[in-house]
Amino acid sequence: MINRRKLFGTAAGAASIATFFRERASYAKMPGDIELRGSIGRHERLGSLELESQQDFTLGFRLFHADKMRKTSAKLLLQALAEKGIDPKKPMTYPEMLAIADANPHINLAQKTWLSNQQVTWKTLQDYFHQNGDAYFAEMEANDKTGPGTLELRPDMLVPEYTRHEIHIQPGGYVGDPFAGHIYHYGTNSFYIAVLGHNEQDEIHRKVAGNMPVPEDGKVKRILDMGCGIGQMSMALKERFPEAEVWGVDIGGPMVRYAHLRANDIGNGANFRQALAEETGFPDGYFDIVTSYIMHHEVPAEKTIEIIKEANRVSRKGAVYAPLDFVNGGTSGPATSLHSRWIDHRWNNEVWSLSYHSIDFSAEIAKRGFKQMPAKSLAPQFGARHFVKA
Amino acid sequence: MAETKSTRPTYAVDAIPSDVKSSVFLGNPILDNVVSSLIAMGTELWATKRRLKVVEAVMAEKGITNEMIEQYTPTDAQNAAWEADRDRFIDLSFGPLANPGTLPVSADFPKRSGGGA
Repeated sequence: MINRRKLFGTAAGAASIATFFRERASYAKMPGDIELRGSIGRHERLGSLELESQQDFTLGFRLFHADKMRKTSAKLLLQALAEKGIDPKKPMTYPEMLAIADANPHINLAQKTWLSNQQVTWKTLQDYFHQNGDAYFAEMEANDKTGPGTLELRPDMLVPEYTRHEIHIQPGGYVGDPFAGHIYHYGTNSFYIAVLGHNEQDEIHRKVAGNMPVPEDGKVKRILDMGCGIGQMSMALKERFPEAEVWGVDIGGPMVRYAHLRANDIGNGANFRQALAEETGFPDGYFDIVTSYIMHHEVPAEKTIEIIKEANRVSRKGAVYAPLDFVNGGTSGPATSLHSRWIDHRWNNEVWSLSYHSIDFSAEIAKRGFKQMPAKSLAPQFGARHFVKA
Repeated sequence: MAETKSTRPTYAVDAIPSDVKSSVFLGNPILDNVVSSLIAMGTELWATKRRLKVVEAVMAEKGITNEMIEQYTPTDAQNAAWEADRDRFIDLSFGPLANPGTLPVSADFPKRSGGGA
């Protein structure tokens, strides 16, 4: 559950919560709205105290793990390197690193506990939404065709195999569970708190959208968010550019369905379409800003190249292309960073993350009709990628 | 895995499952299972404790304060019953830890006396 004391623990925080409640009070009740336990700002509380408490535990364990177990694990890996006389900064390959890390039971226990906690996070959420499936289906059905934004679902489209993996070991992934959006939203709130801070009010997406560069001529009529997931970035961009036509596309039907539901709930006019990022279906030169939010490390490198080409096709001359994703590059590196990356890839099922790291993402964009501009990263751990269509 | 049996449109397709459940991190799958069980038990225990906090908060709003709960003195009968339940809980939860377990799976039956025709 959101910790209001942590989130709003200051005088400025008190002002924020007042703003959120005013904002909430202004939302029209959407059709079929299920708010079993009310909302805090735009954060709809989970439907049962038990589920909320289970999620509270897994969040607490995640914080504990980051503070204690992960640090111990990293320290032990460094010790193991020292015992073998290996410079910890020396680049290693994955097999070299794993031969050392695998031999230490404490390191393995740290990974095991993290994954078990991750599994409990997902399972409790998935069980709840399925146990109460009728009500949550009805809520989505009541909103599929209402606005302010639009929803385009394509139940007959071919969903490519590369998109069907259970990313983050989320059961069903982004495409295989009718409540994938619900599950992802509440599950990732705790990811954010442990890494970047609170995001129950879309704080992180709103901050990033607030720093999004605009074309030199200042014209922002249309914006595309590729691989939008549950649409947090699309909605944040619509809030920053209320006059713009904003589109979020994602291959996950349940993801864009939930994105649209949530946009309706908070009165946001972003539009959502079930589509691949490499085949968005929009006309040539249609958009003034094209972006994506941590999508590229979830697709194979060859798809990243196709997506860059699609971004170029749908961008008008002078448009901004700012795909947000992690700093990348390289198939070797210091053992500690390789180890985290390996566990995330192999066991947290970030299937394509090593493929993402196998190319220089920024260089690939620059080769395909975009000019790189000097820029700062829009969020910690992200690469600085501000491009303009030449 | 939870599944919804529904004729409603789901807009979902078959996913490719992760093999994380087959992973063995601790050299023995039983140890891995015990750790998973421990995390799940922690989740359930915390959910119970947190619910208790909510119950106490609601009761306080209705005039039953936390102090009244803290100051409550059980009767002798309650003490006896609760202690018996505590011992049962401990025996159930931790009794297996005291089990010496010396027989291999292939061990023969011990010789029995009597029981013949």
